[in-house]
Amino acid sequence: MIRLLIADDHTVLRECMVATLRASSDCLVVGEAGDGIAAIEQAHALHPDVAVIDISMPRLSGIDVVRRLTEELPRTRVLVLTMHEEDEYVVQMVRAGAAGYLVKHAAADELLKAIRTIAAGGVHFGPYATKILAGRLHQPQDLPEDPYGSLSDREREVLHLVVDGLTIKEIAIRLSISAKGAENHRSRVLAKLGVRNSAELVRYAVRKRLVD
Amino acid sequence: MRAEHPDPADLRAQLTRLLQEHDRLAERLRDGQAHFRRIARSVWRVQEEERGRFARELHDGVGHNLTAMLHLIAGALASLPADAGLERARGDLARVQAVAEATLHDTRELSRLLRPQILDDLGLEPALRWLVRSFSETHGLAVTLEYEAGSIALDRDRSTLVFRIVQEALANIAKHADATHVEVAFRCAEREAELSVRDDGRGCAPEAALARGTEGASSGLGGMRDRARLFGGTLRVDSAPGAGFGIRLRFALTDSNMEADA
Repeated sequence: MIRLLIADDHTVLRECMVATLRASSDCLVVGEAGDGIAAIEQAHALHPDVAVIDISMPRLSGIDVVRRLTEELPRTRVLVLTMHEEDEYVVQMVRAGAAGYLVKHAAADELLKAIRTIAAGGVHFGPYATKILAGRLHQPQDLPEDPYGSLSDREREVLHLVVDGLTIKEIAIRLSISAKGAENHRSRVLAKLGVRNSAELVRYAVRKRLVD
Repeated sequence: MRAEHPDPADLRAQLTRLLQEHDRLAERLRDGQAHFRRIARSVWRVQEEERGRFARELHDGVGHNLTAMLHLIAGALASLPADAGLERARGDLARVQAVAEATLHDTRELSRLLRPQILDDLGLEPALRWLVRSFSETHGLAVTLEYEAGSIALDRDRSTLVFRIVQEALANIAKHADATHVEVAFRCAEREAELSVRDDGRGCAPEAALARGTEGASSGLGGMRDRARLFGGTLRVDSAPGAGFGIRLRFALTDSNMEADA
């Protein structure tokens, strides 16, 4: 059985999680905490295998909880479960010692999978956090032979929409940005890929097999 | 008629009294200004705290409820038997799910607009990195951020000052500049910090921009300058038509330095 501590100050959501975990055959929720200090105290008393920690909690923030648990109870592994999607949070929590990072609206199945992986000594960062961490490692200068790698996510989206034949106005509407913003993205795509216009961009995409 | 010569000793005494009176008035004026600055800063601080509270309530309260709702809907969808007669119910639930997802997204946006939690949770540098990255994604501009503060940590008010000024400057660039590149640089020395935001857009005559700002129209430069003054700081504008637009904010890191410099 995987022994779990769940720390989250939002009762409704914590109950949702606990119900999901109770329904599984291999997880046992041994403790629940509604704030950061209680999370630390419970972890010391119960020595859970995995502590599921929220970032925004009263009395002591999740970041400090993760830092302290990593230092004080190295055998308890930490999964961060949070509402925060910004890259900077993922990076900070990994630095603090988290073995996993999931956003709260991730499916229940993914939560179970993450807990099992982490309890078995692995790490789980979910598709979202993995993309962020990979993006941090793949700086454009690491990929000089392929300028496509230096495009941002948004620039790649714009590239594909241009190749699909959408006008700047249509792209702007599709991405909920201004027409000027869309035009700026397109100019930057052209500059980074070293092509002069949309027709050359389509040829580049065909050459690189970016289109079917 | 012959005027009588005043007694030089009297004149000296009068002059001394006038000078003392002048010093007293000047000191009262300085006290008054410092007092006014303290009041203005508390008003500003209360405003930011209030925005922070609303932002947190939206993100952590409403946001969590919507997330719980999404999990409950997913659970309900999963437990519906695969019966053709339930197709309509399944479709309705999926639509409710989509509305809840969109509302969650909007709630988060609104919360970030009020006061991004990242500023309080992680501090100024991660908050600026997030701001610059999301601005660049939204507007398609290349924005670089240089942040040099060593081990110096800014207090909460000054972190908010820097964040709000960068935010305002970027909003101005999106509205007026017609730029493709923006450079944001923040440097902290022992006693003083300097922030600069510079674009390569169409620029303008600084006086015109400042005049617009103080008249309350569009650019908000006057507001930025007023905020800088609350910390004894200065905000300079460096621009010319066709030569981009830049602002430079300098301020002391502590209030004692600020009073000495003001």
